[in-house]
Amino acid sequence: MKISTSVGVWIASLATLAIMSFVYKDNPFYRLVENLYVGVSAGHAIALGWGNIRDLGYTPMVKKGQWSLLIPIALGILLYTRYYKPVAWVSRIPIAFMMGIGTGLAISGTVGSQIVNQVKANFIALNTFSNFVIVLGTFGVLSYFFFLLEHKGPVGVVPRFGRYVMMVAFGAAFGSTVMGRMSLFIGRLQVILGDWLGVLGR
Amino acid sequence: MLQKLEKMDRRIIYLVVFLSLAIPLIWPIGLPISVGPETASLYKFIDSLPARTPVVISFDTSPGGYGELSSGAIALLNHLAKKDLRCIGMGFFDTGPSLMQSALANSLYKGKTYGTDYVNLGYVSGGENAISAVAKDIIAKFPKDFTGKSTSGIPVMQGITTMKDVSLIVTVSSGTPGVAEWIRQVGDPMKVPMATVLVAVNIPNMTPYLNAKQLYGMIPSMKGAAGYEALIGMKALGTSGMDAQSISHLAILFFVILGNVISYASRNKPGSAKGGGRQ
Repeated sequence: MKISTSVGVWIASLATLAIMSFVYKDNPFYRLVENLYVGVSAGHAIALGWGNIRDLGYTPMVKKGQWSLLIPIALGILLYTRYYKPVAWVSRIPIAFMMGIGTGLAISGTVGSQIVNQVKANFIALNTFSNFVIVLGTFGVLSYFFFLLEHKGPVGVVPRFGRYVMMVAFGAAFGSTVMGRMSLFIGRLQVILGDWLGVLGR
Repeated sequence: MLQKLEKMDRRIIYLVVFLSLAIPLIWPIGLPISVGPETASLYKFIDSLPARTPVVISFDTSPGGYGELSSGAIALLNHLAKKDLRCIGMGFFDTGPSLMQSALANSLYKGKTYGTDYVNLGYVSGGENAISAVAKDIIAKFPKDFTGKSTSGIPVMQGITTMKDVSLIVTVSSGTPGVAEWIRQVGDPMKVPMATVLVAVNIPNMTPYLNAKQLYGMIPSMKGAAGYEALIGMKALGTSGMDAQSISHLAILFFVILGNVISYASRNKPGSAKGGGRQ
């Protein structure tokens, strides 16, 4: 057992214990660290955001004469008009720009990568059990969301199969979530038991 | 007995799960570790790259997700360093580049030259829009690196203008923007091989990209990290965490079965409205 002498490790470990103490019951230590976390995250985001405005907006504009950057900077400032009711409507202009650009970029990419390529990936030879499951599963799940015909009698067989496929998928998602949460906890325990207390087995 | 179990304090479950994690960490059992095909394919791809090939690693994660991803990210960085590949780091979560600094400090890159062998370019805000912009001109969007130094003319970026000039992009991802955004904006349109170090919650959502060959490989959560550590021959935190992972899963399975048995038994009890599920 070799207890750490690093201030950072002590802070990280004690903060972890304070957060974990919530599972017993709410307490002042938990609330202190919770507020600290929110505050540090907000401060960090503001500092980095300011760095972005300085390096990608202000500096190229003033030092390199890229005055066209005034347009996005002005649009950014207009976002804050929403805090003054008489001119709050002005903030819709930059929001519309952001929505338009974001949607345009996402849709153009989505058609290729999330529709065309995914459909193409389902054109596979039915020579293995896995390939059968992929093709039939996709067909079954899609048919479950086909509402033109009532899912009764023989018409309901394929959608019912699709429902079972979805249940298996949700089960896999739940299992993965458990694995993820345990991995997170193991990560914190490795800090507490290893870096802080030095009792981790090798 | 049944009544006692029904009214069991939930903190007993927390305690059992805690012990099932802590005990194997202190006294490891050494359970066998299997390597998934998605992890092996990423290893093979990186292993086939010649020295000095540029690889982009984007830390698109927050501290909450990094606890799960750190062992996989460090294992990957160790492999890149062993192969003497150029590592170009960046992030589209504001906390990503800080986490990358931590990962680099714990990897073999610690002994290499900053600016020549690796660089942490920092963060650009804007999510998916920023990824798209960076892909078209990397240096223009990162005039300064994470430490505030100018990126103009740094050796590690030699011959790299757009994302088309790199041989692999790996996103260490726990949310949005993440795998889907990278594939939409860079992987598919620019035909750049992509891989991911991924949180377990997202594995089912991202597996179709593997099947469609839009992802070359994946290091899923701590399990993937342990497999990757085995492949590169450097056992570390991923490997030591797998015993705890397995034992805790057994504990949770036990509680799931116990909960269902109690629910079923109390449902069949006359006059009982308890038990959850279908009444």
